[in-house]
Amino acid sequence: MEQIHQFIDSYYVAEWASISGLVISFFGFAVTILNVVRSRDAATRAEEAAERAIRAITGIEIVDGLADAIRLLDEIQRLNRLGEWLLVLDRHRAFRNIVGDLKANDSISKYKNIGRLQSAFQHSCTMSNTIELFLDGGGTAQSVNVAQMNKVLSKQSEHLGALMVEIRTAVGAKQ
Amino acid sequence: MISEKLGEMVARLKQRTEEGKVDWEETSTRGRFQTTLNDHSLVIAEQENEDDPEVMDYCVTIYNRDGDDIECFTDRDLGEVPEANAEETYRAMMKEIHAMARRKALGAEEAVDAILEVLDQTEEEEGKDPK
Repeated sequence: MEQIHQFIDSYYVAEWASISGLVISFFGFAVTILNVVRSRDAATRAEEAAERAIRAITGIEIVDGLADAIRLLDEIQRLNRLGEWLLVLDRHRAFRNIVGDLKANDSISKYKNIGRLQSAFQHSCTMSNTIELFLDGGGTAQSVNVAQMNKVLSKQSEHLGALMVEIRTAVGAKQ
Repeated sequence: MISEKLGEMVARLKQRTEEGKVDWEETSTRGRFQTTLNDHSLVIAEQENEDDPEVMDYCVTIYNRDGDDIECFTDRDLGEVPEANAEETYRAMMKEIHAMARRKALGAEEAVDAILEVLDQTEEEEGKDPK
C-alpha cells in the first residue's frame, strides 16, 4: 500500500489525474456545445425546408388555379361564339370564384403582374352584367358584342398566362 | 365634399395618364376603357348626353374589389366643384383622359413610335447609301 502511495507521490499521479479530468471535462463540454449548435442548425434547416415545401405547394396550387382560370376564359370565348349565354354566365361565375380565391391568397401579393387578377375579375363582372341585362331585355344585341368580348377575354388570358409564368419561375427558383 | 375629391382624382388621373403610369385597357364595350389601381377599377366612357344626343358626356365609374360599381359621375357632375369654369375644366380633362386611354389601350402610341423608328432607320440607310 505504501508503495502505491510512494508511486502516486513520486509521479504526481493525483495532479495528472486532476488535470486530465479537467481537460476531459472541458472537451466533453465543448462536444456538448457543438452538438447543441449542430442540432439547432439541423432544426433550422428542417424548418426552412418545410417552409420551402409549403411555398412550393402553395405556388403549385396557385399555378393550377391560374391554369383553370385560363381554361375557363378559353371556354367562355367558345360559348360566346355559340351564343350560349346561360352557360357563359355559369363559366364567368366559376372564373370569378377561382380568381376570387387567388386574390385572397396573401402569398401572391408580391408578384409584379398581380393587378391582372383584379382587372380580369372586373372584366368578367362587366361582361356578366351586360349579358344579364341583355337576357332581361334591357340591352340591345349590339351591347353584347361577341368579337369585342372575345378580344378582351383573349387579352386577359395572355395576362394571366404571364402571371402564371412569373409565379412558376419564382417557385422553381426557390426549390 | 365628394365632388371636390372626385375633381382632384380626375386631375391626378390625367397627370398619371400623361406620364404613362396608368395602364388603360379596352373593355367589352367599345369606347369604354378600364384601368385597375390596387383593389379598385376605373372605367372611363364617352356617352351621348340624354338631353342632347349631339353632345358627348364623359363618365367615370369606380368599381370595388367585388366588381360592384360604387361611384359614377360625369363631367357635368364636376361642375359643382367650387372652382372657376369647373364644368369646362373637368370636361376638357375627362375628354383628354378618354382620348389618352383610347390611345394607350389600342396601342396607338406604340404603333406611332414603331413607325417613326422604321422611318428613322430608312432615312439613315438612305443617308449612308452613296447612290
